Amino acid sequence: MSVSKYLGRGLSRRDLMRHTAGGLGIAVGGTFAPPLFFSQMAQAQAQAAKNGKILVVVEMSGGNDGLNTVVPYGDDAYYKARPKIGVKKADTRRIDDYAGFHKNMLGFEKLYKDGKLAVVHGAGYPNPSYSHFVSMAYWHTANPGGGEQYGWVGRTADAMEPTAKTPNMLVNVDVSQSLAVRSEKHVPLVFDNPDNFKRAAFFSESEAVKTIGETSAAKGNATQRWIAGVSQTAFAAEASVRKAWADYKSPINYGITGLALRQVAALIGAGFPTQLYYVAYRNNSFDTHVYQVGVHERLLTYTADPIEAFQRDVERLGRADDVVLMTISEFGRRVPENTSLGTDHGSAGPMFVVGKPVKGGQYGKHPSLTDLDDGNLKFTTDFRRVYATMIEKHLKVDSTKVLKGKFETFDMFA
Amino acid sequence: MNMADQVALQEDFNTRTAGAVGFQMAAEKIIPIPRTMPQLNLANGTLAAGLKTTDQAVDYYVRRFVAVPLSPEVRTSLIKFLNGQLGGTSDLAAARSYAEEPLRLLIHLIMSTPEYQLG
Repeated sequence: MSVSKYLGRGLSRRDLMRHTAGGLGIAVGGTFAPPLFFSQMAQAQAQAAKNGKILVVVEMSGGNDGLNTVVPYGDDAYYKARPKIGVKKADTRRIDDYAGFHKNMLGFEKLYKDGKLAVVHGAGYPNPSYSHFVSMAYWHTANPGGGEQYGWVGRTADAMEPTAKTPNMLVNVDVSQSLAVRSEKHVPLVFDNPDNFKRAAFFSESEAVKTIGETSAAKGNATQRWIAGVSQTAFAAEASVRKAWADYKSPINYGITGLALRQVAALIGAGFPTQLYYVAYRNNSFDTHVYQVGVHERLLTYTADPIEAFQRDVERLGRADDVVLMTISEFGRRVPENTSLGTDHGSAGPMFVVGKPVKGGQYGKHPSLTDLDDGNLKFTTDFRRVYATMIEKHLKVDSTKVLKGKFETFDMFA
Repeated sequence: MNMADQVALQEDFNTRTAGAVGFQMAAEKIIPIPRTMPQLNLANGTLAAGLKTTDQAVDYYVRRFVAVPLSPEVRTSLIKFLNGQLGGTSDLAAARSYAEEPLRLLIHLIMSTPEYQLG
């Protein structure tokens, strides 16, 4: 049911939420007159337990250098293009005669050997943009050049549950909401540090703020009741997140950074109804124009370790059959190294898909290192094929409307 | 020291120097904007409005700032808050000398209610 006609001021529900709980990055229920949050939550948890497939997207922001990640040591053109920063074969973990993981990706090697990691080669799109903002927007919306206002993860949530009755269907662990999770019907739950995820107030105001947040406007007009409901669900959501985080105890070592995957595991362990999670590196971490080698190899450790740890954690939680993780990056890097011992914005790069339901292996073709587009790789896999695979084969939803087109899926799931 | 390290040192120095010079240039271009804090005296204003007790003050400021009534629970909570801030008394005149900060916090709480946004 639309809320707009009840507001009487030309405000949309989205506008109102932007100025209220939505502005605080707190999720609200999608219905006009939301029932108590906890009863929604309980129903949603029960439903999630029945068919709760979960997709976790990890954004490697900045443009990950795919060639130094999955190193094509079997191709001399690689070393000709990168005489200084090329990764030697001895510094890789073998996949096959042609390529291997960078040596710092022990976690990915383990996952690959266990058959839980799929490597998709040459992911990109036609007429690539070399701008971080533009290209990332294309990956976020899955609509290169289209100017789409909603993210593909948000549209997936809308397709999975058009009524938006499940609260917190989307969770984005970050300082601000990503375009990728922007949804027409759902309001993503966005938070960074779970311990700080609460309404700011002076200490002396705490009790009064709690009462303000939790008290319903039983009387009053429809707008008052709705906004009171927004406030209640916001307070309930933050309390749930903090409780889930406080209750989360895991023996798994996620390495130095964790990549916010511990928070994801905490919510999964607490039985949140969330089916779509989004986490990202910040500040274009992978934008390695200068002195790439040391920075990049550390970033690969920071990526492989927590992802492998996360896989072990979801197995510990008994949700390994439901959870799949996918990595994206807005572009790869140019094939030749630059004069600053780094690499510049490129085009295609690998995507990784991790999980017990995944048929591990290699998908797509390695892009050619000689048939280039002005020094840039020509993509061999449209990234939307991987998105379509996740949406249709894992989440069991038709991807055509979500991706605004039909993209052939990979046979990536058992 | 090898060539790569020399280049790194030079680049580091150049980057820091450029950053410092850039900051200096930006600072020289700043035009200060005089800012005057609002000269509020809520304690005097509250008493001048003829308000004697904390519940009267809460009702007064809720009517002033919020377009719709607050729930009874929130109203009670605000009164309890103000009483607590005034050291347990509801007598505004008796608490006049130290009531300014509590009243400002009360206004802050009123403006923190969801209903405040329904202007």
